[in-house]
Amino acid sequence: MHAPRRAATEEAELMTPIPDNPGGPPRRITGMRSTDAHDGPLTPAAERDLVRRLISGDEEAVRILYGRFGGPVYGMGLRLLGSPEAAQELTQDTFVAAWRKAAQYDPARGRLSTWLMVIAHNLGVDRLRRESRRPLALVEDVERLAGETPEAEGQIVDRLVAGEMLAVLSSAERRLLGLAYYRGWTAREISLHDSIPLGTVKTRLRSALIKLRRAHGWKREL
Amino acid sequence: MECPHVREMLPEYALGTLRAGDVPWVRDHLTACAGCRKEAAELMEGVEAAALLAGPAEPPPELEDRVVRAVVRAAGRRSQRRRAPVAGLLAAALLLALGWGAAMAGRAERMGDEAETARRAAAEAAREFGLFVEDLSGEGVREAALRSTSSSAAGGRAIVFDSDVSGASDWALVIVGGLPEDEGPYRAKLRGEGGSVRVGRLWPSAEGRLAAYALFGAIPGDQEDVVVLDGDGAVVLKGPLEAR
Repeated sequence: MHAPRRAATEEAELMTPIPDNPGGPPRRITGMRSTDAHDGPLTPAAERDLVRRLISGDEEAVRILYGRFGGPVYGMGLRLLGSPEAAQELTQDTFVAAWRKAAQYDPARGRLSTWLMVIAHNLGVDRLRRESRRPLALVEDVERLAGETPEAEGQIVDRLVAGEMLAVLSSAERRLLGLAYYRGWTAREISLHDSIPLGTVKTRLRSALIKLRRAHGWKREL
Repeated sequence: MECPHVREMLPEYALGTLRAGDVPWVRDHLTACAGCRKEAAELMEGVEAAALLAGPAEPPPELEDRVVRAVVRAAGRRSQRRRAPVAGLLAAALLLALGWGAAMAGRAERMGDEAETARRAAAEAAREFGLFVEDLSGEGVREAALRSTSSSAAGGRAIVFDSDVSGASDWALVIVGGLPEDEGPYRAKLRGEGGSVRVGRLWPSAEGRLAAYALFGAIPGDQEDVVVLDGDGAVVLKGPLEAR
């Protein structure tokens, strides 16, 4: 399999290191806003109840879910797919898929927010790979976004979150995560394109996800 | 599949970039292995955290109503237990086409001198059916291209209609070719996170081809791929179900 080609300018963009402790130990992050933090975290019992109501098509339950996760899903879709129209379709598809899969949701295996965001990302990656669309966003775009004028207090928190979380990753991890998460490249494609052993790619992807998870987890403890 | 092999695949499984053919194996393993399940859960939390890197974005106000309508509409279709007329027509056409082909193939077994005629008839039925299903589309119709798990040239195709409605006319059709006769009987299954659903034994439908067809009250769970197993229970063909 041949890895997709990219322009030299994109290469430089992806390779841009992000200052502030790259590759260093994970740091405790403050002020982060969870994907489900609008009204505080849901208890496992509340998550189960919400999913049960979702299965029956309870409109209020769908609105509660959308209120908590609609923004993060849409934001991820926008960066991943590159257009508001595609992001809206992805958001709709995500919630319909969540309804279809709701009976399979097991709170013992993870939080509702994790389950929903993984569904959303997988749908986005499927679409990205199916359409071979070039995504507009790279991990490093977060830096650019951080420079934009925020529209609301929540957005200030969000861009701080993004910057803080990126800082826990090494430049190599950021690059690989950018290619896998935002472009939907497989580990093999990354390995071929960057001439990095396949095992190394997989190891770095794992370490990147674990570091992000740890940073996110610390925030939840606050 | 052993834990070290699965662990190696888990980051891509969490990121959604794992090869479609490997997903069912990982899923099967996770069902039985608590250690790998924990690792997968942690990596998925990493994927959730990565969503924050996308930065903030405010969806348009009208999107909420659009999403709510889509979910409520889908749930309503299920609860009302109704199906579009086309689904019934499709099921009837499937039964007619395959029933005819299977009947002709059965007749061929009984009457050797008419075997060739029967095979031609079955092939024609399959051809007509193929033309028919080419026009299938819409919600609930998914297709899988079945590929050999070895280097053999065997392959096939499966079509599943799952309308999300608890009725009597969800169906699955599997047609394969190129499998060695002496390694059967072959069976087809739909597989998903919640377990597998038996489509049934594959019977000769035309020269060199085998077919299985099943009607379901409602296909349980969210089936994600189709597999064909040989007489020893080994998977010889598989493919992910995708929307048409």
